Order: sequence, then C-alpha cells, then structure tokens
Amino acid sequence: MHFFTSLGYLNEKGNIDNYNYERINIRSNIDAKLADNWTFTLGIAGRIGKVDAPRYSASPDDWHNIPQQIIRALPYVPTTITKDGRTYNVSTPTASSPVSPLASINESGYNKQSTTAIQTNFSLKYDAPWLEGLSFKFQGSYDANFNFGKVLSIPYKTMIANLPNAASTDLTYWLGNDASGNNTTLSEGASKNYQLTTQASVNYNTVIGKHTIKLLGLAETREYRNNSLSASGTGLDFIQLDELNQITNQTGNGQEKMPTIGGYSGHSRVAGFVGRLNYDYDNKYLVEASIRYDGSYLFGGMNKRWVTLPGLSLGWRMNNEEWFDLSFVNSLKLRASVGKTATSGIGAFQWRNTMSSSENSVMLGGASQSMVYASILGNPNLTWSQCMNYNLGFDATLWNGLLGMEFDVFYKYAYDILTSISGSYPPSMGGYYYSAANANKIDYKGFDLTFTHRNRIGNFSYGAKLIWSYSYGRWLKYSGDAENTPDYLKLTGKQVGAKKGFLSEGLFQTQEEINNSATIVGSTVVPGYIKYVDRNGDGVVSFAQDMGYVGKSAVPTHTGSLNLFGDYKGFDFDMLLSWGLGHDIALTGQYTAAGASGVMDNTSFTKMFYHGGNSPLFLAENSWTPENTNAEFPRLSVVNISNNNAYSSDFYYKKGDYIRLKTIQLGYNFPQKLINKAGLTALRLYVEGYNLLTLSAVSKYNIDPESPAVNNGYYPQQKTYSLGLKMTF
Amino acid sequence: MKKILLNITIAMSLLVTLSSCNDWIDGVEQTSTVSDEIIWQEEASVDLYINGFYTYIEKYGQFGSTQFSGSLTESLTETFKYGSYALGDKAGHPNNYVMNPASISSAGCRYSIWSTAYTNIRRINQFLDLQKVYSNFSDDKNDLWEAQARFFRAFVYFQLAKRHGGVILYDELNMTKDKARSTAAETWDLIATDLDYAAEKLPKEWNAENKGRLTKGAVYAFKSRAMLYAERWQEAYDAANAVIALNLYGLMDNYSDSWKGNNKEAILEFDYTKNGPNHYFDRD
Repeated sequence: MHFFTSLGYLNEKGNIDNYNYERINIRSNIDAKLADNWTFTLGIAGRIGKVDAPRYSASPDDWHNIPQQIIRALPYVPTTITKDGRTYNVSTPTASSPVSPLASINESGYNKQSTTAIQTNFSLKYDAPWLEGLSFKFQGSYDANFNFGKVLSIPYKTMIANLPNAASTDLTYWLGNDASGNNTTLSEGASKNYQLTTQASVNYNTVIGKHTIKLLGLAETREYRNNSLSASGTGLDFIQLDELNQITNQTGNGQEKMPTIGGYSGHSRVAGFVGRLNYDYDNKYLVEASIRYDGSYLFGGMNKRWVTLPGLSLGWRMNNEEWFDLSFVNSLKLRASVGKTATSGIGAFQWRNTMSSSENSVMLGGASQSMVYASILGNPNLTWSQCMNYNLGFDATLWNGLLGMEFDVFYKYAYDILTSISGSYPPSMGGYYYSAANANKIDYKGFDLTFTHRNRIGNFSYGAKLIWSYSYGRWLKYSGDAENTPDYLKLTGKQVGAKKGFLSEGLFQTQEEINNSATIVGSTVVPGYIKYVDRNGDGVVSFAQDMGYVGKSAVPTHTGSLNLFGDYKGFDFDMLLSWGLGHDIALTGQYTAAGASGVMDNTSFTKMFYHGGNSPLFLAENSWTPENTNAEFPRLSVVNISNNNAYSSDFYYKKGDYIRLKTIQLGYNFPQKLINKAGLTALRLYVEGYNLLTLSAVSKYNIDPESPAVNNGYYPQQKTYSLGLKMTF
Repeated sequence: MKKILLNITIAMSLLVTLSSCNDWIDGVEQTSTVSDEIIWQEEASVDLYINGFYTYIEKYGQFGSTQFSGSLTESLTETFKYGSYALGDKAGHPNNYVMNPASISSAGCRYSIWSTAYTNIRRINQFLDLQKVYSNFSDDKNDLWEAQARFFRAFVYFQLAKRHGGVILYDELNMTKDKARSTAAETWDLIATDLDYAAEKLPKEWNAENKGRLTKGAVYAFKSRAMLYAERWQEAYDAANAVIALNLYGLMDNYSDSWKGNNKEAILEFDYTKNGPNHYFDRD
C-alpha cells in the first residue's frame, strides 16, 4: 500500500488594489493491493478558492470596467481634490459615464466569489490469473463544485470635472453620482454542479515470438447536473449590515423596488464505447486500429445520436531493420495516420420542438395570465460535427542527440459542422427553419516541426529546442453566405476568422477628389478622411455591397518558440522566445462573438478623444493636416464630422507579427557539501524575468500584440521580475 | 458450436448494453423548455398557447410595442412635424424621417413589421398544424381554439395587407424559402375566410373566467374595418350590420364613461395591470 498527501496555500494580490485571490488545496491518493490480483486506488482532492474584487470588474467585456476607466481618464484631471475639508475622488466626464478608476476601486462595493471543489476518483483492477495478460478495470470519478457569489453595489459620489473649453481653461468641479446611480443593491448567487463518470475496460496484452499484441475494450458514461439560485435586493439602512435579510426595498430616490429571484438547472448524459488493437512486429512495424462509438443527449434517435469513429495509424522504425547501417542515426521512425473525430458543441434539445413560457402576458377573466409560445423548431437531423484527420510524419535522433527532429504534416477535413443557419433564410419564413444544422465545412492544413540539440563540452552542457507550427483554416462552405451577395462578401473560400471590412484607398486630399468619389450615404467626408473603394461600382459605398472579407484572422498562422538552456558548475540558464506571425490586428476592434459578429467598434486607438476620454499619442502625432498630407492617420477634429473613419477597413488592419522574450531565468545550485552541513539536500537561488521584451509591428503604438480582438480596456499582460530561493530538506 | 454460442451471447449482450445506454441518455431532464406535445395533454395548457396570440392586439395596436411604443400615430400622418412631444423609444422617428432620408432604405424602415408579422403567422400556423396532430379534445373545444387562432392570422395578415397589398400567403406550416407574393385580392380573400370561420364558431359572450377573449362581435367589427381597406364595401357593410344585430353594443350616455373600459362601447379590449402586461404610456 502506498499513499500520498499534499496541502497547499496560495495568496495573490492583483495589479489593481482590492483584487485578491486565495486558494487552499488538499490532495490524498491511496494505492492498495487488496488481495492477489486485485488493485485498488482512491484519490480525493479538495480546493477552496476565493476571489475578492471591487464591484467594477477588470474584464474587457464588462460595462465600466476599471482598465477602460483608466484608459479614458484624462491625465490632466487630478485624482483627488479637497473641498470644505473633505477629500473627494475626481472623475473625468466622458461621453457616457464619468470615470474615476480610484473611486471605482475603493468605493464601489465588492464582488466576492468563492468556489469549493471536491474531486474524487477510484479504480479497481483485476488481473486474471487464468490468462496471462488479461485484466479488467473499473474506474470512476465524482466531482462536485459549489460556487457562491455576493455582490454589493454601493452608490458613491465623486467630484466630476468640467473640462476646459474656449471660454475658460480652469477646471471646475461638481459633486455627482457614479454611473450606477444612487441605489444600493445586494445580490447573492449560489450554484452547484456534479459530474459522474464511469469507465469499464478489458485489456489483453500478449507477446508471441516477435508479435506484440494489445487489445482494449472500453465503455464509458458521463453525467452532469447543475443547479443555480440567485437573489437581488435594493436598499440597505446600514452598509455594514450587508445581508439580504436587511433589504429595505427602497431605491435611492425612495421608491419601492421589489427583490428579484432566479433559478435554473441543467442535466446532460453522454456515453461511449471504444475498441482498440495495437500490434507491433519485432519493434519495427507498428499498427494501431481503433473504433469509437459515441452517443450524446444533444441528438435524438439511434441514427443521429450515435457516431462511429474509426482510426488507423501505422509506424515503421527503420533503424531496427537489419539492412539499416547509418551509424549516425540513433533512431528513425516514419508515421502515418488517418482517423475520424467528432464534436457536439450545441445547445440542448435543438432536435426537439420546444415551447417557452412567459408570465403575466395577457389579462383574461380579470386576471393576468401566462402564455406559452413555440421557441425552437426541432431539427431531427442534428448529429455530430465530424472531422477526418490525416497525418504524416517522422521522428529522428541523430549523432547521439546533437540533432533531434520531429516533423508532421496534417490535413483536417471538418464537415457537418454544427452552426446556426438563421442567416440564410428570408424573414418571410417566419423563423420556420431549424436554428441549428450540420451545415458548414472547413479544412485545416499545416505542419508541426521540432528541432532539438543537446551537447556537453567539459562542465558546460547546453541545448536548444525550436518549435515551429503552421496552420491555415479555410471555409469550404459557410451556410450564412446569402446567394445574392458578391463573392468578396462570402466566407466560403476565405480564411477562418477573416475580418470583414471596406477596402481603403488612403486619405482624401482635396474636395475635388471627394466630389468625384463614391462615399457612404449619410456620412459627411472632408479632406483627410478615409477613402473607401466602391467595389460594386454603383456610385455609393454601402455596407451591404462594398464590404468584404479583406483582413486576415486575428490568430497567428505561424507560431513557434525557441528555448535555449545550459548549465555550468551549478549555474544554469534558461530562456524562452515565442512568436506569432501571419495575422492582422484591427485597431478599430471587431466583435466576432455570436450575435455581435461584424459589429465595428470605435476604440480609442482609431478615434481621437474617443468617448470624451484620453487618447494615444500616435493618433495625434501623425494625423492628416493640409501640410502633412502623407499622414498615417486621418484628420483630427474637436467635433465629430461623421463616423466615416470609424468603420472596419484595411486602413486600420496592422500586421500582428510579434516575437516576445517570454521568460529568462538564471539560477545557481549551491554545492552539496556546503549545504549538507546545514541539513539541506538542495539549495537554489534564482532570478527570473517574464515578458521582458516584445518586438512587433504594433509596438510603436504601445499596443500589446496579444491583446484581445476588441481592445477597449482589458487587464494587461505584465512584466514580472522575481527572485527566488528554493530549499529542499 | 460452443464458440458460436459464445459469440452470439457477446453480440446479444452488446446490443442490450447499447440500447440500455440509449435509454439512459433519453432520461435526460429537459429543464428550461418543454416539448410541444406536452402542451396538448391539458386543456389549460392549450389555452396558454392561445393566450400568446392575444398579445398581438397590443403589439399591433395603435400604442403597441411593435408599432409606436406610445409614440402616438402622429408620425404616420400629415402632421409629421418637428416639435411634438411624443413618448416612448420611437419618439424621435418623425424627425428622423424628415431629417435623415437614409432611415428609409431598401432594407426597411423604422415601422417595418414584415419580419415579426411572419414570425407570428408561422406560430399560428404551427398551432393549427399541431392541433390536428395532437389534439384529442372535443370538437367544440377544438373549434373555439381554431377560431381564435384563425382570427389572429387574419389580424396579422391585415397588418401586412394594409401596408403592402398582396403578400406571401402561408395558411399551413409548409413554408418554403422562395414562395411568390400573392395578389391583393387573394390576400383579402384569406383574411375574409379566416374571419368568417371565426365569426361562425366564436360565442357572443364568454363566461366570467374567459372574459376578454374574442367574441362574434369583435370578429365582425374587425372584418368590417378590414373590408374597408380591401374596398369591399358590401362586405364591410354586412359585417358592421352583423355587429349591430347582436344587440350587445351601443354608445354610453356619459362620454367620459366610454374611456373607463368594460362598457358597452368596448367590442374588444386589451387590459393592463400592475403585474403585467404593462404599458409605457405614462412613464416618466
């Protein structure tokens, strides 16, 4: 019997004050031989995590997030002022809500989230004594998560600055509410989820002469349940008594506001069967043949619910052949495989006609009544998204490790991809079409390459590892393409993730040029504004006819890393460079999430004083003026003349290529004989840097090449330096 | 022989495992929605289904959310002008029509109801089709449901016909992607047929529990209006006379009482209450 236990504690503070993360975890594993031929394992792990944060979040998707407030706050507005002996935080008034990062960090209330997770797993194995190599195994796991969240919104006032104008350059202030208004609200939410998996398998391994055979049969099930409950109330007499029991149901204006409650649950089940045969002849020829049979609750009926996934891979260790006599080759293996995989990412019960209900919809017989209405038109043909994977490659080790190589080329053909197809029907169909179907096709091709080098010269040993990957995805069929749109507006044939926008032809230089050019209807244009291409030649620039997929995906096609390392007499060194190439970054930002796809945002990176907030220098420095006609960015104006420059276009697509020094570490291991006297078995001192250097095409704009696609305030990547001491007793 | 038997046993047990696995998957609880056949197990559920169609009265009404959201109808009349105080989120529309020509384009205008109308028509047709498949209730019950549903189909087609004339007609759930528009005459015919059916089957009055549902009078009154738009004067005249012949409606003696609801001037009422449905006519 073996056992293992561990206990851990972590406490981390965020870059922004009042962000704290705390975690306690415990783990215990037991391996036991119960009787002859019976083995048993049991593992239990628990984790308690707590996140404390201000009420306003740091996530770029959230309204009024703190990084966005920081971007928008004007630098000449003071952080605090004192009036009548009291110190107030100061807000910059933007186009919508006043921003005061400090007040929103310190005065806005809190958002506390905690998670308790329990993970258990066990297995029972029986090695059959009556047949050598045959074994049976049953294993299962049960995971439970309990989440609890509490959010208190405290209304707060700041001194809001009146910005300088033509009449006065003095800053004046007035005391005003924060953007959330003057209601105190308290919300609590609790959720729990459970996942139970089981796996029963039969294994048979045997060696007959030069034949090694392994057989596996396996059946597995996975079940998931979740429940969620939430409540929210308004008004507290004492902010210190922040309990739902104390809710007064009064808004800040003294009006009555009833609490709201919510709750929902979910349930899912999937099952699968696997059969696999591994065959090895004399450690030269390797064959693996497998078949999977998977079923999911997301699809209905025996034929659509279950999918058969065969796979075959072949290997040849050439260096084990008798005729192979290249002495500098230590190992050489050729590989080829073909296999089918399937995924099922889709909402539940789309295969069934479903109805939703809505309360208090109509008055009949003198009382409010509910209604039910048809929501989803079930698509009984829904089935798994499937993908054929082809792979060719080789592994080689030459000159005892001086050169190691791994090379793979792949082609993936994904078909029956599950997607929403509502875009391809006219409104007169009244929604009478399946909202989801197995409609799209994509293929991916690319390669993965790894070179390694290791060597030792006297006391100095060193090595390098280069990884280079390339992958390009292409739409073979996109169901959202309407038949009557021009080719450049169809995604079919374009890169996966391609950006939709206008083609630009630089900046307008004269009024005469504007008069003779197509422009967007309703958008005034002046010299120094962006000129767009009228692709269909109808004399106007329109979103429906002149936009196209003209920008590369925001995801690099080439990614790679170079790791250099070495050690010499206790000193060691490790450095990792990583890069991404072949992608475009849209300074305008472009939303790609479902429902917001194609929405163009105006970020502060393309619009001077966007939203009445702060601006990056580069926009001003190289803007168009009658003297600076060869400018990189459009003409500036205090008053927005039109939105002409705010649309997605290749004018704002910049090459995203970057290389970054991800980590660098220098360390020293003290000699054994020195530390043994102090009762230590190892002592290591090291200094480490993270994200120290970035070279990219957008670095001149101070933009992080790995920033999100819509760059309107986000928690930035950090440069980290650390100094460490590691002692082992 | 023994081997064959063993093989058969293995094959059988695999089949049993597979089908029991499938049953296990079928046991997943549907939590946020219900399947449509469940509606047809209880009379009360079918009534709730019908209730959904009554919301169209409000939506397409003069103050409804699909139309004007309390922005009043001024924006659709000759008084189309700047300066009136109109409530609701569409308050700025009159100005926009005048000042911003781009607000009317081939893609639509601010009052376009095309897409929502066809969604509603589809829902009604879906009700009528499923009624034939699933309903095991008495003919009387079925007739009342069908009459209500068909009134609302005519009601929505009327909204389309008065804006567009002839439109794409679907009277069953066999909607196809490229069906052609019908003529105005065919559109008005469908409206008249649906209304005639509803008028025939619906009661003069409902019991207290169902007060507020469609009556013969409401259907005839609506038909009279629809036929005016269709310029079918005789039909409009006949329908109006049918309302009078019911002897249920008349003018109130005191003019101010006619605004209080639930009186003999009201042929079809849509009521509001605090818990909902709500309106925004008087919001601040």
